[in-house]
Amino acid sequence: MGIVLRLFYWQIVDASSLANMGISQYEGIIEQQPIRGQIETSDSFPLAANQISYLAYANPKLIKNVDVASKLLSSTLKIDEASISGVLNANSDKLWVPITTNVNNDTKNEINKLNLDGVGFEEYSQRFYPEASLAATLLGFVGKDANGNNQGYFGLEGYYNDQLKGRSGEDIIIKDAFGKPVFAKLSNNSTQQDGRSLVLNVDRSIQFLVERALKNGIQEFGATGGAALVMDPKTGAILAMANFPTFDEASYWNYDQSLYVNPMISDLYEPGSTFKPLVMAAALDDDLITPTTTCPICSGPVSVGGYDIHTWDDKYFPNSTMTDVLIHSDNTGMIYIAQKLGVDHMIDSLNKFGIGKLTGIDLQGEVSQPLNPPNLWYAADLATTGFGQGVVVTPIELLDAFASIANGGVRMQPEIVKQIITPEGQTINIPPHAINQTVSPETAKIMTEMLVDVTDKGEASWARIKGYRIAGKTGTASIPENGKYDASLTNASFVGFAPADDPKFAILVILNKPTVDIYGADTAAPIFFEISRDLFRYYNIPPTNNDN
Amino acid sequence: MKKYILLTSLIVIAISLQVVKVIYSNMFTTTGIDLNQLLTQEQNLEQQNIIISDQLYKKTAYTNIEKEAIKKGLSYNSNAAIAIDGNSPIALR
Repeated sequence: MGIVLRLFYWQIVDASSLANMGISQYEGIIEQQPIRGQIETSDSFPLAANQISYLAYANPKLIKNVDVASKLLSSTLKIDEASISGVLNANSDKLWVPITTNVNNDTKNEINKLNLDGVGFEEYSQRFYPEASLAATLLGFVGKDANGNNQGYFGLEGYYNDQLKGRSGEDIIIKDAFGKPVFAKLSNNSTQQDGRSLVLNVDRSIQFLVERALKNGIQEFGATGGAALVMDPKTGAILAMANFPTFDEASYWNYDQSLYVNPMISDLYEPGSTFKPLVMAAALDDDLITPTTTCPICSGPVSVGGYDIHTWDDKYFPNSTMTDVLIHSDNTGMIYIAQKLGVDHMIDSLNKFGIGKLTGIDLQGEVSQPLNPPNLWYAADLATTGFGQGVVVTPIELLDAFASIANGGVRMQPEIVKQIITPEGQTINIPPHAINQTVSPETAKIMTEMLVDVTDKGEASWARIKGYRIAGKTGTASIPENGKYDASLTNASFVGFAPADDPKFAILVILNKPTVDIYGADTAAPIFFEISRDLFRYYNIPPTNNDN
Repeated sequence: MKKYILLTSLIVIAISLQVVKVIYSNMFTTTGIDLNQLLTQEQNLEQQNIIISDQLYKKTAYTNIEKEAIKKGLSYNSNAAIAIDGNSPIALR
């Protein structure tokens, strides 16, 4: 009777817990961490990948001689011997103590050869950037969230974190009587999934040469920093995005947080004369002016709203045509055009160019400053907006607007990522996306010819590349500090696209506070042309002019 | 007599089935161990593949090539004048 009762208890009452005990003896669960997706350039080179790294740990109870072990580990791990022995002695009663992370495979093998008791390694996947700090602000970095899980911050790592991070899961294994796995995997229902990878529109070679040209330019002209952006105007694809100063993603914690912010999308600045083509194009499109319309107020400074507005060099050209106004970068001529547009048309036109709006670029941290409503505009605001002061944009906003002129008036959404690759190998294409028509194709063509004249005859003509038709405009914008403009502090810039007849690229270069020379024509323009020269060669674009 | 033969047969059958069960269990276990060793080898090879890929990425990074070019004198002192050409390797012409 007792046996029967006992059997009833085991088989019925306690059946499930006994079954679970049995399962736990022969089944084990391994948590599978996902591998974060890679970020590759358009020419298939990884800018962000994952490498195997190790955490070195010690079991102090198994270490026979702490001093000997510390000395051996110190020389291999390149850590101070006292630090290691201090950790081991302070935790002599513990079974597991971390010594250091970021141990590579070679170092691990060296330590294993020492046959030290009580020293082991835990493998983990660590984000690594083969090109060091190339495109750092574009990429962002991987840190930890509040739960200690990997989390992308800023740039692409932040914006696409949900795609890149994947999902952890569990695998069930069968163990033998000694606890060793017999079958490595039993379950087909693991929820683990590696992250998706990104393929960018960014070209590694173009990114490299842009960063090199920009870095050299900043040093040469004594600027505090700078930025350069290259875009395909026909698709909105971002081919390169560079800025200095920057940081190293692999050791981001050693840098000031202000460097994590991408100035291309997060810094607002007054664009100065690089804004003039947009205002000019708006007036052309509204049939308010033609390229040969003459300016009746360009013979001297113009008084608006109690302010006297001068040209940048205090030189005046009476009866300038509109093309001349651009060539001379004449502020008074732009005031004439702005006044012809009027506040309402100015706002409408700039809105069509995307000024005051987010571009929707796929990066974390984009900002924009909406334009004031018409009732808040003064006469002076209309005038200064005409020549790009008193209005603020981000660099991506300006280039996206300008690039529409190169694309028959069609403004494209700027895009960094062109494909997303799933772990199963499926490719998700991100096609180009047209936002709107900023000006008519005819206006875009007229504007292009005017801008070619600017490059050939304007103040940056000394730096232009002979034999190529390049449409461009210089910019030298005073920087407001403490409520007033300091004439010695400028953002020097140049914006343009080439070849003018079939644009392959549009470029914006900005130097912050250059000291050797404050003007865009003398600083940003040479950098622009240096990048253009490299791109002509890279794309095998032959010269079109017999212009020697 | 018949009862003894029947009982003996049942015992023999039972023992034989147990022996067969043990033999097949051992075969499964052995195969499982072999499979596990193969899977471990596969994991090791995958790991080596990752390590070699990482080394390859580092060696072929433009930033590394530029550094090496400067060290070997294949560039100007202040600039690495690298000509970027889709058809040519990166080097000073």
